[in-house]
Amino acid sequence: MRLPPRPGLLLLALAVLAAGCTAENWARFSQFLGLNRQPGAAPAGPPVLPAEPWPPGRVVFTKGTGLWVWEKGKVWRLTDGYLDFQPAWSPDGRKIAFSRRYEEGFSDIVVLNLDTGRFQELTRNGRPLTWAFRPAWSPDGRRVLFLSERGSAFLQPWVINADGTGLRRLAVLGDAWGGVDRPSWSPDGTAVALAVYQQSRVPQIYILDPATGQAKPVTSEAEGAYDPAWSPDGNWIAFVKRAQRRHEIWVMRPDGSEMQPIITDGVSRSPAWSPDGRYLAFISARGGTFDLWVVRLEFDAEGHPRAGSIRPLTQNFEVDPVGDLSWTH
Amino acid sequence: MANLSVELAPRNPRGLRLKNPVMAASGTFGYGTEYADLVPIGRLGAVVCKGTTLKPRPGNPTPRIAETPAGMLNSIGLQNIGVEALIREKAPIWAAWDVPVIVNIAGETVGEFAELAARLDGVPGVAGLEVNISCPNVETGLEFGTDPAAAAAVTAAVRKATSLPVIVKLTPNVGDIVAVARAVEAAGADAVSLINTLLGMAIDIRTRRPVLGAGFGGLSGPAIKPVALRMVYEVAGAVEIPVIGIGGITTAADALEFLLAGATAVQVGTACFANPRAPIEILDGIAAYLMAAGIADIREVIGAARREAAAP
Repeated sequence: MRLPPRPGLLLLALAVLAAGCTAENWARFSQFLGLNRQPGAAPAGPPVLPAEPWPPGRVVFTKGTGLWVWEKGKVWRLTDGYLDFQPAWSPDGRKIAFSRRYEEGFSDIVVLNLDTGRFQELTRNGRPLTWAFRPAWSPDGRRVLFLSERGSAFLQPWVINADGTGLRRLAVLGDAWGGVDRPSWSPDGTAVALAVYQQSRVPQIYILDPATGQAKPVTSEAEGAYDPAWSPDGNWIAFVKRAQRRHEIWVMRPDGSEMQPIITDGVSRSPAWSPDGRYLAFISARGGTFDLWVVRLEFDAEGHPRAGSIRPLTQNFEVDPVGDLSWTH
Repeated sequence: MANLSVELAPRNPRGLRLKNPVMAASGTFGYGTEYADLVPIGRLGAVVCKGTTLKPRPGNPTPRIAETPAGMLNSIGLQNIGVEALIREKAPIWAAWDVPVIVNIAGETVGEFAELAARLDGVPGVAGLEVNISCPNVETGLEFGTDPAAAAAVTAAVRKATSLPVIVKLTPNVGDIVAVARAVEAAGADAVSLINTLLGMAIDIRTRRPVLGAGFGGLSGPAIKPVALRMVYEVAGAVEIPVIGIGGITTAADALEFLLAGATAVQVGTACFANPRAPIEILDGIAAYLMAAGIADIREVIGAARREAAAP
């Protein structure tokens, strides 16, 4: 059977060839042709050329029970066979720390060395039931902060050296029924933003001094604030603010001032900055399934970020809404 | 209009505030999504989804349901899609709803309960957990819920794994339900719900075989209401945490009996099979009762039968 001529396609192919077939061009071209329809990579429906290039770098995230990586519109599986989630790139992008859960009811912080492909357990919890969640590398890459309920009712911040020594609890925050969630280091390593839960109160974002264990609240949101993420230049903290049924993404100064909305429709969680500070990736259910989305930030003359274009990084990919994500160069 | 809102997890950091005390019970309302076109789900106090396990389960051999006088026997065997599919497919839908969804979790070991709780912690669309301790512990062969120590061990493991509100669902197939309630309260439960089904059976006299494929099943429906009411009354007098009444609630009058006995909220179960709108009709009936009696706040009703019993 003869295919009808498709001059549009031919022209585009020539244009791509004329432009020089770089990897990025090829990715865009092949997506246009629907050649890389692996799940989550190509949009469903009529193919459209991306209006702008993909954001730079790699995003690690969780889907189902394993870690996945997104880069330039493509996704691939990184770990399989365990219950892995909450990944965090090391500052040099050569390692990923994550939480590995076991069905016996405990979890450990594990580091994957991308140079060697080897896994190293930083914690060794085992029985009795002890949890380790949400690892976060210190900016110098020498320590990993994580959350554990060891010796407390709910999760509290702990720190361990990247070689597995020096395990200690940083602080006990909140009351007897309190706990913390999603720590994020300041880029100079002198402070950690995290969400603090307390009995009968909505969560708020606190700034913890890891040297002293002292912490103070920087938000007092009526319906709660959580999921903080410190910007690479240290000037902003992105976070999630509850508003009735919506989970909105906002930014604020590290002292809690100058709050500005970024994404205010639907359910958005886990904002993560691009290393250049020009984008925020996040998890959203706006498409009917949990997927990775990205918003390009536009900065006004005073350096205040506002939402630019918003686009999905995955579609109908059913990413883990509490698996968190991390972005490296 | 009277204030109908109740708090089910007053000491929990996340809390579990319901706009009214009428919930759809686990196993009788699917994942809620099946009823979204039939019932104004946004009017319910909360929905408790069907029992969820780590891995998908096909359920027990058929037949799984038998009618009995004023009741129903079932042995569904925890047929469910598993926690991963629940997070992928159901949670994004729930996250857009105006009603809190509580996930009922069931495990075969203490570790499985803990893993389920850790997995669901913070998932948008999941407002709390109801822990089904009426399942057998494969490590001992006994039901967790029949032994205060085993029930407390499950509760403590779930408590350590999540800051979500934790409701422990108690079984009536036990000598002293008050002892179990006290044990799970001490282990960190935010609330207790009771009762789960009473173990029963039916035999077909023609085939001389048990009617249910699994032999035994759980009895529910109006037949068990007096037993449930007595147990709710006893437990509400013994623990500080909120009690959720379940068992044969079919009308607003049934629900009010449980509230008067000390329940902070009620779950409507078997009645949903005959009439998926039953929880809404019960809610409307409660509101009408409060209005007719000139009661401004549902909390005036909760436990009133206890207070009046205590008065000289």
